[in-house]
Amino acid sequence: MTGSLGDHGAREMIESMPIGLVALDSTGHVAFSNEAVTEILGWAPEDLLGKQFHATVHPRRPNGTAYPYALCPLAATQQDRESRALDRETLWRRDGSRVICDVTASALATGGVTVTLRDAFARLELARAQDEFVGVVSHELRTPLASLLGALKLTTAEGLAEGQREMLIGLARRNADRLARLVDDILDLEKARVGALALTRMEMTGPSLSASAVDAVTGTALAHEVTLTSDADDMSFWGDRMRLEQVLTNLLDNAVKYSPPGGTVTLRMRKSDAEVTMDVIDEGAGVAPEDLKRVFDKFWQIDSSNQRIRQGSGLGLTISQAIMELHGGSISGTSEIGKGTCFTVHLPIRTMDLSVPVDLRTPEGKIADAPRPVD
Amino acid sequence: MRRVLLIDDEPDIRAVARVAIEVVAGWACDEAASGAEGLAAARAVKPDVVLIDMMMPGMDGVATAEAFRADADCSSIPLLFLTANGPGGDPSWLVDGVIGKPFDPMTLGNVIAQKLGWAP
Repeated sequence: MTGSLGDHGAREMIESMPIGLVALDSTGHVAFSNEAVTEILGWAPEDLLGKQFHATVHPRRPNGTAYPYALCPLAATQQDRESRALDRETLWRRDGSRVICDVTASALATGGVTVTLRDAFARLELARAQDEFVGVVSHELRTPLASLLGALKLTTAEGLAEGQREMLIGLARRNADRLARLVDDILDLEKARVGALALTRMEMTGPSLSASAVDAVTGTALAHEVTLTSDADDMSFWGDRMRLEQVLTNLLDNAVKYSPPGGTVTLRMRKSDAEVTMDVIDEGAGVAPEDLKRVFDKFWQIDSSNQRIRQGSGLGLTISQAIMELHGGSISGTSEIGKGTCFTVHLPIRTMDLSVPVDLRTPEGKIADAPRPVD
Repeated sequence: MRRVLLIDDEPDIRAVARVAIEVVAGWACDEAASGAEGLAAARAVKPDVVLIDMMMPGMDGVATAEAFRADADCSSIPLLFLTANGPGGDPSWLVDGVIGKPFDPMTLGNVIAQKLGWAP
């Protein structure tokens, strides 16, 4: 090693790096291994030292049959001095369990081989989750698209009965709306995932936020014959007004859609020392405790055969939760079967964070004097 | 007249397919929103073919097709899957054919007839 790091620094760096590193001598015996190897394979450096590496951690194939050293790509690197990378290789831990690793082998000038190990579980898990997400998204997008395209094509069919053409156009329109909402939601979710969902904070009052959220769902409430009431403390607080409105609108919209005709949905805002709480309370059928945990999952819907509710994307609560997390808050839910459900938005009151972009306009459009802490 | 039974949890897809079958193909069409409902309907109306959506909550397309195949009254009714090529692999061994989603409503009847070898 050269430079200011020194041998000691270099060794410390190698020992603490998050990638498993094993140095093999020219006969494939372990000359060195670092801490990450202990984590991945369960072998402490002093125990692995001097062992034949292949026979110790790579003795069998994934199906359990013997894996002769001569056939192992690591042995090949030992022979031909060519570097190799093996993805998803099954290795065996000290306790006999398996671990799937991404492995590389490169020849050392001394005649030995350096092996790196990375536990591939997290990567495979992520890839699996992404596959699943793509699968679900494509189904969720194709379904309204199929209805939309099909209905439009049929409007020109011969022999349509009275009113059938209008029914098809209405159906196409409804599905175009659903598709548009879905695209917005997927983009929001993607923004939240990559950390690009930025907040524009401003000061607002409880009653004005409450009024805009209620306004946004008044039409839906009328259509479902649900009464909307709101009760907000006279208070002001900071947050991203547009996004908070999106969260409340989403919760109110769900509450209305899950309410029986004649039911009441209430929005209640209260302020305590530590936080503003916003309760959205419905008199719907209630949600079972095991389902309440899943309502924030992507695309999960309580009863997906219920068409009144299916019009949503199934992403609203996931996005709402992400928005509240950006505010340092959260959404929680309580429910009683047969009585109704209450979702509570928790918005912590804290000194305004100057590291995030601040919009100085107040809800009424005036420019505030200067950023100031929330009281 | 041919009689088609359509099993899909999406009412809008059913509405489109129904117009395609009744108006464009000129056949009779019955609908069901789930596999269980579909099996009950099939016993009652004895359809010439059942179109089954693959991705349905609860009893999915494969489970529905298996239930048809195991049912004394319905085991010989031709089955066609409707699939958006989502996750789930190739299930075609269970059924008489697969129709991709989105399907073209103007040719749905022709496609069904062709998959089942019906005379035009």
